[in-house]
Amino acid sequence: MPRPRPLWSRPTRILRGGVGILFGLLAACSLTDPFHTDFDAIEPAVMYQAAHLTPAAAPTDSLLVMTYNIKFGSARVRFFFECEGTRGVMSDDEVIGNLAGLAGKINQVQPDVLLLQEVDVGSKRTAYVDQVQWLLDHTHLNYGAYASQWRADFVPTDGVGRVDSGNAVLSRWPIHEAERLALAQSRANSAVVNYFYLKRNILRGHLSVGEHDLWFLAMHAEAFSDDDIRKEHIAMFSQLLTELDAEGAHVVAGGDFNTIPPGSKRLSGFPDDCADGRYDNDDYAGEEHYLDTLYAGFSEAISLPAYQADNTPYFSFTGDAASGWNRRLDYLFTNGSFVVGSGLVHQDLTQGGYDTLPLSDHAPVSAQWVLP
Amino acid sequence: MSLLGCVLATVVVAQAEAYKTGTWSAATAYVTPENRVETGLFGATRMGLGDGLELSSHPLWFFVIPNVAVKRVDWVLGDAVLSSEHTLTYPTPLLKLLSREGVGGLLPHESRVPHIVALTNELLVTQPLGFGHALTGWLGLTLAGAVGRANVTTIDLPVVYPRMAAYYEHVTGNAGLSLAGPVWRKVTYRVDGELFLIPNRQATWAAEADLEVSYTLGDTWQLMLGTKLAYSQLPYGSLTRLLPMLDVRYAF
Repeated sequence: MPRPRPLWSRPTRILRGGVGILFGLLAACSLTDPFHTDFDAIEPAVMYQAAHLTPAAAPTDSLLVMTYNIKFGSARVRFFFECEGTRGVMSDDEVIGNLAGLAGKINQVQPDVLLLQEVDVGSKRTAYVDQVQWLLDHTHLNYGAYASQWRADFVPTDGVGRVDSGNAVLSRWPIHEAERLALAQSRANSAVVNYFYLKRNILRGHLSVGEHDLWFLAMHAEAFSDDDIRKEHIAMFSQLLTELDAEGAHVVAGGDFNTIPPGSKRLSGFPDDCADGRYDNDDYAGEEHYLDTLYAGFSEAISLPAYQADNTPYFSFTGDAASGWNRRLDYLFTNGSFVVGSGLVHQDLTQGGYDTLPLSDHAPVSAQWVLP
Repeated sequence: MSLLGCVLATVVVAQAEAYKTGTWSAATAYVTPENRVETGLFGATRMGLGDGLELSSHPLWFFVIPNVAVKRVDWVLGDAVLSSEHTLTYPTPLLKLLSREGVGGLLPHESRVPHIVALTNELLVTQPLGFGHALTGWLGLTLAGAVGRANVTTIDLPVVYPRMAAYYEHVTGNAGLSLAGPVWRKVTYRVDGELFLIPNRQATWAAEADLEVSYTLGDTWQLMLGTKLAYSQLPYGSLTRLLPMLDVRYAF
């Protein structure tokens, strides 16, 4: 019986060494971010284009801009993290049905530029439908830029699984140099929670519209925090807007800021408060001046005096459709101007011509943005 | 019986006793020697029953995913050994356990898990190559049936998805090739590659490559360190992962 010959001969040693180094490098890469949840401070946005482009005439004096938190196309399906929520996933048919409702509203308004929040592009909860692509393919909008704010190959809680959800900007005209600018995470969360938790961001880019070079900023600020992280997000947004303004850029900037305007009548005790929800009920006491800098330096779609005179027509959020819109969280600012009186929160048939309450927990906000 | 048949039968019988058993022989066509039990922290527990039979189960998983496997040496020709392994699995308790709120909820808590029974059948062939090295090939088919109303989503991760796909698709196939042998003194190696075929319009195949190095202490202890490179097509796309492997094995 011959003795076993070890594989320690020269050729196999080289081969084995190479394989070992390769596996070692791959292991090191896998272990630093095993579920791919991390982002760089600045990353290029993911760019999209509609399957069929819709010709867009060059605008003359203004663009219609709209911001809309579409709640990942879940409409009024209550997910496990919502009040009395039970659901964890939706079927393909449910998602497409909900997106069809959203596309109906978008096609009715015909915005030139659309800022979206909570758009899923490959999440298990929404049957892996790429909602940016779907909305481009079912509306008049042609181009898109996407910045993920919650991405993980697998989230091992509540059946979430794979998730990729974030901010997007859709436009009739090509988008250039769109970037994802990372925002800080809450320091109140543990490292493990933050590893899987949302990574908020600001999506920045610009559009070539005829002879105009126009910039946009889009953000979805932190919703749940026990520290001042939402204030930091808004301050960073304000700073970026100020910097672009100083450079002479013409900017529209908006999104879901998760806070109320100064002069809001109600700061807590909302009709959609939940008795035994997973998260504390919203209480905006202490946040009354979070938006002061933005209001002081820039124009907003809804004039502040009008809002302060009567909050109700400008409410853009409710967690409970039965109790109706009850606070304003969604904004559009510019360092230029909006056509006076063009700002509108699309609440229902009488105010916007479409029943938006069943489509999402937010109502879209639009305004006519004056070109320079 | 023809003359050739007689010769073949004689060779088969003569060689059977010599080659059909082997220690630490998981993932080969060999079976554990009679009255020997090999167990591991994470691997299956294998017990040699004699007459070319082996019984095995994953004890760590048994209470959440009851499973039992029987391996039998079917044919020995010269040095080559052909075995078949049949594994019966009842994954329903595990899927129910994973359908929960909070941490550890790999499936949505509203999942409706039916009674699922899966039967995996594999043919394994091991051919010694000399100097202690051996090549093993295997070919498998998993069939699964479910009873009751079902509303369960998949767990979309490499390694996991291809092994659970039969619960949803009712049939999957797998095939693999491994090479094992001595490296130096008590250190042995094992490298393998395995392909999973999933008859699903979204995910059609997965592949895995393992590299294991084991240190054997006497006849009773073995420490295994290794790594698995796993690629899987999944319902949303594909994913590649490199995973560490570790096992401490004991035999008595």
